[in-house]
Amino acid sequence: MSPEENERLTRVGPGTPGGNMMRRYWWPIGFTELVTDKPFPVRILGEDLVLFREPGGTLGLIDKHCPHRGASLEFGRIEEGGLRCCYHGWKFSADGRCCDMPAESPGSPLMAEARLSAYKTQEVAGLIFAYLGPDPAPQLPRYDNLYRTDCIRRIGASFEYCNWMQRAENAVDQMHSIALHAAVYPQFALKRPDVDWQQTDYGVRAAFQIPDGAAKVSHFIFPSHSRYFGARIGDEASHNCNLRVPVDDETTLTFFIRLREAHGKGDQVITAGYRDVVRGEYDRTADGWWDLGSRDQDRACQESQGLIADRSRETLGTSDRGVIMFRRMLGDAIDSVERGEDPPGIVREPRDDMMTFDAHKVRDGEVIEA
Amino acid sequence: MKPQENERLSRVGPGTPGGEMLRRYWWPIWFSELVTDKPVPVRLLGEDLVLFRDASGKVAILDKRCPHRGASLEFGRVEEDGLRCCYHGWKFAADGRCIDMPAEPADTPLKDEVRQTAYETFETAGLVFAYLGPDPVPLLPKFDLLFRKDCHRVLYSKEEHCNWLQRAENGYDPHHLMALHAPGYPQIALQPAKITWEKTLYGYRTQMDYPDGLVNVTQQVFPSHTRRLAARVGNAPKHYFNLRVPVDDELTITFFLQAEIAEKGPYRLETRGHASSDRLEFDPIDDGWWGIPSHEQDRIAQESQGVIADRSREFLGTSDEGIVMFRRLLTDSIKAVEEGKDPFGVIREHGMEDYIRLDAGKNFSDGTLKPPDIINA
Repeated sequence: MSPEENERLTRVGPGTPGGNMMRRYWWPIGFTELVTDKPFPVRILGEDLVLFREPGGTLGLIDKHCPHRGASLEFGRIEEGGLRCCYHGWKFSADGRCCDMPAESPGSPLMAEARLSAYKTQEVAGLIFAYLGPDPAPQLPRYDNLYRTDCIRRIGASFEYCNWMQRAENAVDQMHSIALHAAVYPQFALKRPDVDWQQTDYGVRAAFQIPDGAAKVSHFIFPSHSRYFGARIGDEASHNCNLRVPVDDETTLTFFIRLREAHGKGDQVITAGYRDVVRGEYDRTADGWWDLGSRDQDRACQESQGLIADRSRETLGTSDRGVIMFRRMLGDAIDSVERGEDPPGIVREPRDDMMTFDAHKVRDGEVIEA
Repeated sequence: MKPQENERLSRVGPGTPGGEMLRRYWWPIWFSELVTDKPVPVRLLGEDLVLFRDASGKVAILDKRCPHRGASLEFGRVEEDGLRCCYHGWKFAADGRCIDMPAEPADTPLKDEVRQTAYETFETAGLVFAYLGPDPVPLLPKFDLLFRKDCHRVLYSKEEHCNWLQRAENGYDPHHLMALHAPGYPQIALQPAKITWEKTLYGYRTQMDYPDGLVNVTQQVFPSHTRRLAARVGNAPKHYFNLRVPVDDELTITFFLQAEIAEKGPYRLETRGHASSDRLEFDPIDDGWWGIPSHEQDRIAQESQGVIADRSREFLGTSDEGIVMFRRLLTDSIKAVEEGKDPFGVIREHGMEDYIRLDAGKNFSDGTLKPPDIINA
């Protein structure tokens, strides 16, 4: 890949080709439970925003910096009808309009001019989603992990200090389970698998099989999410959806939605919140492999590829077909948006049914499912 | 000095004129005792590398970046015949050949196409040395403290957040002793010395003659090392070989080999490892001088010259003749390498002798003015 192509695929800021494409999707930006009576700073796709919940429950998502003299609205006060800046008291409603300028003369024409960007939000499954693209906004696809009922739904988020694309590639790259996760999936350890990647309307379905019968099926949801069945040694089996969010060019925030059966006990949401981490620091454990703790294996490896991996220096083999398929989809998606068309996986028609995924693992000849 | 010349002398990365010259020497890169069964990430001359000890006990050095998709081999596993990458399990032998690609078809031609950069290593005196230059590989000169057997050794390293050249110049600048180190050497504080420079096969022998018969002899070993004897107030005299290593353009690691010559063994080797620091930060003291603790004086002074000192804004005096000589040696060495020749001090054959004796000594040690015998190696 040429360095220019690498730039085109990885950069997410406003006005970049990749950033324009990524803005066509809904992204999780926070947890319902954690956005209450204080403004909450949010960074996504290289934009600094602030999220707040008005006393009536309405969510606002507007530019973080006050248009007056740039103070951050994260220090503002939530009031009936909007968010007031801490510096000179300008107040903004959830649609970005300025509705008070206490130090200016009443009737100031400035009030109509000072307008912040405001974005659409919606809440589902304990998560707050935002849409930063042009109108009309598409539907939020009804992924099973977001809409299934009668389950214990554990949600949380963890930072990774590298570009989003490394994390997305990891989701479509089934092959890394045989090495990076060998300690927690001993049935796959260094065994040459047969992987069938099929492009679908939502992304890629990957069926993975090793000669002695161990197998798994998992899904990549374009542009950066994964849907898989987790059965790591030491963990209870679960259905997982990892939504990987580009915070900016060099930071990714992965929201995980982990489902376990509630066995008729009804819905339960456990908000684990954010796990903050330091680039270069990982859980270490003596497991005879890479000595990386289970939850840090992917992060350590993908951060080590560089803040933005230099794809002009790679050596790809036939086992990287999935990664290549994803990169082609990504390039095509950016082209589509430049032509004024929707990128893959965009849903425009409202639907009632859920989008389900057949994700499972086979161990010792037995299908394991939650 | 013109800014372009400053760049030429100070930059160390691959392909730079200075970097190509510096690649003709062996450099200490880590401590033998700390290279065990885990890979160790290291950086030398702007290159990111990983060290590991293979089953035969030899230390190998490879490019840190897996050629597949760029994961770091520092998370790899050391196996019988090589180092395996954590991401997709590619395995590399000590010589850089790829010997396993578990996810690829068994007969993949890719295995023969991939070759990881690998460098030569050599261990002596508890240190691992690496050679990053072109073949044929020269010899590591048998400098006394690296090779003589009759001494107890203590090894440690510190980092300085500035370009290597500032650190190297400090060795060719004997006059800083009477000012920067005045708190530790009150006998010579602000006393100018008569300096005698004597060119050797490896650098310069520097003799400082102070009033009252006080003498200090050090040896500069090109391109950036100093062989000296330290005898600051409050410390017993110790022989030192300070090996200054350009990690990259903006970071230097100094390996300190401290030796106590003893007639009888058994000889101790103590590896203290690396101590990190923050640029320009130290715990101030009240010494009536600069308020910088003795062991931080050089680091702070040289870090304060800038991350890469701007030599276009200097005022050099006659007391800076050592610096001027050293820079000339450096310029000539870079030019020699550009002409396909060896730079200064590179040797390809050992003489008959057991080791190269670098005499270094002082006749002032414990704050007294009475000159005792020169303590010499």
